[in-house]
This record gives sequence, structure tokens and C-alpha cells, in this order.
Amino acid sequence: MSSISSKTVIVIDKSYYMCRRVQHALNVDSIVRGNVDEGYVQKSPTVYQSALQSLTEYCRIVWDIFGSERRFLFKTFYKNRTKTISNWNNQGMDYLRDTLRRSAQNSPNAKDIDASQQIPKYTHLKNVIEDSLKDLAAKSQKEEVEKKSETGRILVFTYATEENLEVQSNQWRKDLTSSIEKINANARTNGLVELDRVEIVIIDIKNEKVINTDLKILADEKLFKLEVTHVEAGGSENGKEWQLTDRVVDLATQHHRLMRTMISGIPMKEEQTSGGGGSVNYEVPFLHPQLGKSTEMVDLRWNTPKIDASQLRACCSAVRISPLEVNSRHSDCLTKYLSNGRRSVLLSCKDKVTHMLACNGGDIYLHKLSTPFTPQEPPSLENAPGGFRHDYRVNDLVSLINKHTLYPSQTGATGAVAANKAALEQFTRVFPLVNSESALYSMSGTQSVDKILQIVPKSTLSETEQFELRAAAQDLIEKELKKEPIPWSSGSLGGKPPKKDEQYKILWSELKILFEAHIDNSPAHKAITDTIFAARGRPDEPKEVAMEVDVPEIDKDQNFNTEEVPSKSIFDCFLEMDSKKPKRPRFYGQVMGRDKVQLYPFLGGESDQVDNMRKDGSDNIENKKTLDAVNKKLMKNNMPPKIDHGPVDPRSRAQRRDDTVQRRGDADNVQRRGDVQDIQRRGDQAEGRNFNQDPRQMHRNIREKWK
Amino acid sequence: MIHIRRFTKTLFLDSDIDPPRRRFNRDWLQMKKEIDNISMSTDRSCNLDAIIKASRLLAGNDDEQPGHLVCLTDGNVFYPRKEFPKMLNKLTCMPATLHILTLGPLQKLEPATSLAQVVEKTIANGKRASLKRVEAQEVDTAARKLFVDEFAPMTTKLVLGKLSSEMVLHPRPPGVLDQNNAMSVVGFIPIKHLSGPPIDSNHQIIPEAINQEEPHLVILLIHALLQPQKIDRKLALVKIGDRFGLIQAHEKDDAHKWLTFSLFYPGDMPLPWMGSFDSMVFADSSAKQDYPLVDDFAKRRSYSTPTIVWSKDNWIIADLQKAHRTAKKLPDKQAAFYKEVNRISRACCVYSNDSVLEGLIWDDK
Repeated sequence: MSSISSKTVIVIDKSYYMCRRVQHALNVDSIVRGNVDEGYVQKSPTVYQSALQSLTEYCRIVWDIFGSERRFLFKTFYKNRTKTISNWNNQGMDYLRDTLRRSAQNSPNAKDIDASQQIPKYTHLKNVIEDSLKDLAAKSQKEEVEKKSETGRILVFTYATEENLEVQSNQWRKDLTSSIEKINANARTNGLVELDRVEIVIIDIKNEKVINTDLKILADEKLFKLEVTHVEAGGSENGKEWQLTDRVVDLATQHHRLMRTMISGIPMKEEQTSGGGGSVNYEVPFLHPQLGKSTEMVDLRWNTPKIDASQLRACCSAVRISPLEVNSRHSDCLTKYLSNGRRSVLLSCKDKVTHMLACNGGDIYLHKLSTPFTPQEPPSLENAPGGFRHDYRVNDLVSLINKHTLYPSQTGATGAVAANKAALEQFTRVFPLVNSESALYSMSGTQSVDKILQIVPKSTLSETEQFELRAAAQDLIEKELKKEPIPWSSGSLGGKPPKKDEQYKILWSELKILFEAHIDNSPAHKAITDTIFAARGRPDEPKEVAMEVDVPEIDKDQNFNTEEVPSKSIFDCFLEMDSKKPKRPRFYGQVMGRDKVQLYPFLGGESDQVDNMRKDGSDNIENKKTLDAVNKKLMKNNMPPKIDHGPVDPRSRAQRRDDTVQRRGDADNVQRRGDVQDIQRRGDQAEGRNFNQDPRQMHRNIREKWK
Repeated sequence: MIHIRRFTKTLFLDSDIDPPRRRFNRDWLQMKKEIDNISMSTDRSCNLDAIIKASRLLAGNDDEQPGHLVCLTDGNVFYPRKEFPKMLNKLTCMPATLHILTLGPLQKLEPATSLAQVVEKTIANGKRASLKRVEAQEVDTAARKLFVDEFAPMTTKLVLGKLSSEMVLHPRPPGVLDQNNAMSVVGFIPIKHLSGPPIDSNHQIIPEAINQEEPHLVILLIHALLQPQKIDRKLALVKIGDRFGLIQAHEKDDAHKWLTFSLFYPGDMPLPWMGSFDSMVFADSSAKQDYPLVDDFAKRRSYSTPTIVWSKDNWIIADLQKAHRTAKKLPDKQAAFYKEVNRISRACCVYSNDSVLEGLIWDDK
């Protein structure tokens, strides 16, 4: 059974009587010029214009909150004829504005007074309501639709000339009952859905003050309920009361079960020009459906806009809102603040944070917060089954979770749950919870095993992925041939790991289980499984020859070095790389021999001068040109640079290999230094270290010595 | 709450009479004493009235889990037929699950029809309700069955693809009666996109296993959901029966970690801003779109689009003053001025109210 609020027919009277102007005009001049007394431009809207404005407000509130769930159909009636100006399929404020703009061409005309007076108002209204009932009645066959009966609401905006619509309540009861029964009889004949319960509200708009604006029930039968209300169009004399607008908003609240809530204490910065520099607290009222179980109206207070997005707030209900004064500056400011940055705001009631305003998907929702569900005594993980273990494959499950993150769908096609479950099943066909007592999952983290675990469960395999699988398998075969250890884990249970051969047997049997579980994913899966396990051969006799791997073709004309290249170890490779590096002078402390740079060779002891010359030779640096000239001459004659205590280039001192450096005035230190160097040299010889020879040979000597 | 008809024994327990003595508690001995001390009277009263009064005790508190209202009655309704529909309309908001157990054979059809209408009305308002006739000798069996179906913790399986483990949900999720309903993980949703989802009920997940040393899926899921940074964490979207829910991991410290299950309200789209759960896809799908899902109608809300509402004079005043302010700043604010004037002229066309525009134009002259 559909809701009575899901369909509403709104009928607007366009007769002469709706041309009458409201009682209190709007002084445009006072607004624009600020002159209250000089009402030079005084414009009063007509009753018809007031009706349009109020019904627009009704539709705006309902569409803001319920969207396309609540549908409206607009009709006009004039000269005893009703005209439908919209349809059930197009909804929304933009569509309503276009519709009203198109129908504005035939606004009520003062010249039509004669035509309007010919037919009694009661007859007009009865005909209008009967036409609207036919629009509410469904044209769908009973078997096609799920609902068993049709229901809805009719709102009629009119100017009732007869004051005593209430007196004719018996006539209403009789006529409307027979109309609905006629429609249902027709529906039964044609197998259509029948009308069940209809609510009809006549809004009688006057252009003078109305004292009693209450909603009066003219008839309340099983099939329908008829109500009437009399209101004044436009504002009251004091400008504070708008009967028509307030009545229409009340009807919207009552019909669609809305509640009014006020948010107070909203800090908004005033413009500098208005004289206020700081922020002022404002109030924003809005309407929303019932929130949670409580029907009590609450006043909420602005609390804080700083909400941690990583924290999931416990809520029991969330509903859309519609600002009551959408045109006002502070209401506009609040909604823009929420919707532009997709922000959330906490609201409090009686010093307790109870609600949250949040923008979700472009709509503003009011959430009612609930107490977080936390156990009084949080359970201990270690007491749970399997809780004490520390060998869970957490990282693998995290990557599975990241791969299977859900997103909204563009198409909105249903049935995705089954497909998603099937995808999860595919990736978890072989998925141990722990990595202990397993060779394959102990090696997760290595490139080859990770590749296999990621690629094999896929639905299809591209050529690149097949190549990667073959390369990964080749890598595992080579590891097996080299008998590289597997990082076996016994988990929390302890125990001795099996032997290496046994570990590799377990590894290959686990790989076989994995590949065979996905062998039916695609033909490529079958092919790659056969290839890998055929290349691997029998488990106890792994082939030593490397598996054929697709490589790019080699140019036949290219000459290759046919000499046998002896096998190298990784250590040899590093040595070779090291020898190719250009030799750089080392720091004093790094070098064990005599070949080193001496920064301050003669520095030490009490005096840094010998023979009136500085030990560090800096005095000679100052005579650079002279020294260079001397050394050049010496070099020409293939003689070592001058090492006399005369003017000697201190830079060349670093290259001296003469062990008999005599330094006057610091003989002890020199002797000590010479002793240290001797000890070092003797040590090198004992160890077999000779930094003057080929490093590779030196390391071989050291290795042989220590065998 | 017990109500037995006068012809056997009329007994009515009115909570309005004994409010100080009738409080919710877990003391079974005290409650047994109170039941044993129920006084008998010859009052003719209506069970529907009693149901409405009792339901008020469970109303108004959204913080707690939804409760249950169990009515033991002989099924007779004493309201005149014409007044019964009005009484029925008072059942607009039943805050709990309603269980009516009629004791003994029903003598007239009318009471059964009336009670059935009560159950139908409660279900139509979105709550669960049931009506069962129980013979005198089957009371014990019926009570045990009611306890198992509605109150006992639910033992079920957590299924993630081909992985599954036993677990217990406490308290029992409402409306999930079939013990064979496993909880299947459908996918995972980032926590930062959920933004306070409305939840029907919350339940704690307790892992169960015969062998305490075997690895358990619940434990692995706890570690995996807690491993990432807080802002990057995800929740598991699950389906149990025809209801959707969320599994979230919590931690107090390294030793205390647990999972909770939150049940959404019935339907495929309990969160309108996420779309239908039945159409959500994984990242590798071609139909995937980023969060959030923006409804087509969302772009047309009155607060998202320039809306002119002139049902009150001060709103017309605000629009005219805005246009006047921009007119004073001409020619600098020419674009803003024309924007305001176009907005007012469009509204004048819609409401057939050219007088407002005439007033603005006259002043600008």
C-alpha cells in the first residue's frame, strides 16, 4: 500500500476572484530608498500570486527532504475547465518554475468576471476535485504493480465566494463518495488499481483579515477526508503575520510528518562595513522528518565543526533537512559552509553532544547520535581461540582488503553482491590464515613468491603476467638448486623445522595446490601450470638446467667471446667492482700501510717547529712557486722530490716512502711513530696483508691462510 | 504483563498502578517473587490498552538497544467495534518488537482478528510483531522457543570467501531467526566515507572454536582491520539473511581488541549517500565511481541552487536590497548586478509578479 503523501495533486484557481490584490501592499520605495513615508511605489501582489508563492514553498520543503519519492501534479481550473500543466514524471523546483512560467501567460484576468460568476463555486470545486481524483487513480494493471490500492492528496488553492462551504458538508459527503465509487467501479472493470484513501484540503484564500484559520473537517469517510481552511493572502497590517504562508508550511509539516528544529549559537562573521568586526551568533530553523523514536522538539546548539573523519560516530537515525528560511543570509551561510567543504558539525542539547549535521553526497543530513556500543569489560585477545598466535598473515589479508574495497556504481545495476562474493571466493580459494608450518607462505615478502600469490588467483593472465610467473618459478628452482634456506616459521607452537630438502618438497606441493586451485580460471592458467610443473620435473630430482625463458632474439652477426668464462662467486664480483674504482686517498686511520695522506705529519709534541721551520710545512706552502720549480727540476731528472729540511713541498712529503725520516727536536715522537708503523707492517705481513699487491690475490692469500 | 479473561480468571497488571515496584532489572529472584505475588482481580480490561501502556515504558530512548514486549493473553478485546480502529491508530509508534502469546483456545473469531490487526499495524509501522496461539501443555516449549528465537545469543559463521569460522553474536540481531544464516563479507568500505551511518542495533562478536590453538578468522580480521593508520582503516560490509551490516574492529590496548557488528535498517539502501549496497562494485570494475555518490536530485535542492522564495515580504525585501547594493557599486559590480536583476526578473515571470521588477527599475532610473 503506497503512502498517502507519495502523490499530491495541486490545483490553482485562475478565476477572476484571484485577481484581487492583497490588503497590505509592499512598499518597494521604502525598501530601496529608505523612505517610509513616501510610498511612491506601492505594489500589492494578487491573491493568485500569493497562492503561487505559497505552493512553491510547500513543494520546496517536500522536495528538499524527500526528493523524487514525493510527486506532485499541477492543474489549473478556469471557466469550469481544468487543465493539467505538468506530469508525474518530471519533478523538482526547476521544473516547477518552468511550468509556472509557461502557464503565466493565462493569468487571471479582471475581464473574466462574468464567466466566473455564471457557475456556482461549489460546482466548480466539485468538478475540479473529481478530475483530480481521476488523476490520482492509477492507470496500471493490478498485476503489474505491487500495491493493492492507490492513495494520495489533493490541495486546492481557491477563492471561495460562498462563505458557507462548511454548511454543504452533507452534499460534499454524498457527491465525493459517489465520485470515488464510480472511479473504483471503472477500475474494477478494467483490472486497474482502485482508490483507497484520499485527503482533500481546500485552502480558501481571502484578501481580507481572517480571524479563524483553523483546519475544519467537512467530511471524514472511509474513502476520503475533506478539510477546509480560510486564510488571508499577504502579510498582516503589522507585517509580522502571514497567514497563507504559515498555514501552507503547517500543512507540509502535518502531511509529511515533519518536525521543526532550531540551531542556535552559530558563529558567523559579520561584514566589516556593517560595523561589526567580530562574529555574531545566529539561529537557523529548519524542518526534518522524525528523528529516532522521540517526537519531542529539541533546540540544538552549535558545538564544534572539528570532527575526526577517522572516527565512526554511532548514530541511530539520519534524515535530510530543509531550511525554513532558505533566502535568509544566515541560513544560506550555514548550508554553504556544510555543502561546499562537505563538512560535519556537532550539535549539543543541554550540554551534551546529541546530534550532527553533515553533508553527504550533496545533501545535508541531521544525524542523531547514540551512545557508542562498548563492552564494560573488553575481551582479551589472548583468551580467544587462536588469539595467542603471532603468525597470522595480516599483511596478505590487508592487501586483499585493499583490493576488494567497495565503491558506488555508475550504472546502479543490482546483483553485485553475488559477483563480489564470487570474487572474494576466487581470491581465498587457497588462503591459509597463518604462515607457520608452511614453506610457501613463510617466503611471502620475497619478490618471486609475492608475484605468484598475487598473479595466480586472477581471472585472466596477460602475457606479461605469464612471463613473470615463469620467471618467479625459475627463481625458486634456482634457489632449490643452490639449497638456499627457507625462512621456516613454527609460529607460537615451536618445534624443529624440517630439513632443506623436505622444505622444498613442501614448497612445491603447496605451489601445486595453489596452481591447481586456479587451473580452471582460464586456459592460460592451465598452460602455465603445465609448463611450470613440467619444467620442474619430479620433486626429488629438480632439473639443474635452467628452464627456458623467453628472451629477445640475438643478432647473429654479432661476435661473441667464445672463451670459457669461469664461474664467479658474488664475492669475486664485488672485488672486481672494487678494483675498477679509482683509488682515492684514504684517511690516516683507514690505512694500515704507509701509503696515506698526512695532514699534519709533524704535528705533535710540544713544539711544532723544527729547525725554525714549521712541522706541518706550512711555511713552505707560502713559497709555493719556489717549491714547485725545485720539484720540477728533480722530477725531470727522475729523482724523488727533495726531502731535505730545506724548502720542501709538504705535499710531496705525503708521497715519501722513505722510512728514514729524521726529525730534529721531536725524535721521540718520530721514533714512536716509526715503531708503530713497524708494528703495523709486521702485522700486515703476518696476516698476509700486502696492500701493494693485487687486492684479489691478497684476499685469496688471506682465505688460504685461514682455511 | 499478564491479562486473563474474567470467565476463567481476570487478572490485569497495570503498570500505572505499581510504577515504583515495576522497574527493569536483571535480578531473576526478585522478578520471580513479583510474579508469584501478582494479585487477582475481577477487572474487565482490554489487552490493547495494556499493550499501549506497556510500550510507553520502552519508548523515548534511542541510546539503548530496541526492546521486546511479550504479551500473555487469552486474546479477548473488550472495546466496542467502532472504537477499536481509533485505539488501533494509537499504535503509531511501537518502539519494540511485539510478541503476543494467546493462552488456551480462542473461543471467538473476533479477538483473533483484532489481535491480528494489532500485529499488522505494528509491522506496517516498521517494527516486528508476531501472534502465536499456545495450548496450556505447550507453554513451556513455546517459552523456550521464544527465548531461543529472540533472546539467546546467536551462533553463526563468519564467511570471507572460502574462509569461515564460528562465532557468537550477542545480543541476537532482531529478525534474523534462521540459524543457518551465515554472515558473509561482501566487501570493505573506507571509514572516512561513512560519516555516521544510522544503525538499528549493535552486537558483539565473540569467536568460538573447539580447538583453542587453531587459527581463527575473527582474530586475523581484527589484526588486519586495525593495522592501517586510523584515517585509512576500513570496515567490512556484511550480509546476514537479507539485512546488511558493518563489522568494525576496536582496540583498547594491545591486549584488548574485539569486533562489533552493527546492523543497518532493512532495505538495500540504508545509506542514501552510498547508493544501493546491492550495486556496489570493486575498484577494478569499469562501473566504479568515486565517493561520494551524488544523487541527481541533490543538485536541485533549494539550498544548492539559487532559489527565490517570496512567500513573505521580508524575503522580497532581502532580494531587492541585495540588488540595490550591487547597483550602488556599478560599474565595478556589473556582473553581480546583472545576476541579481536576472534572478529577480525570472522570479517575476514565475510568480506573474512584475510589480517588484517595476519598482526596482523605477528606482534605478
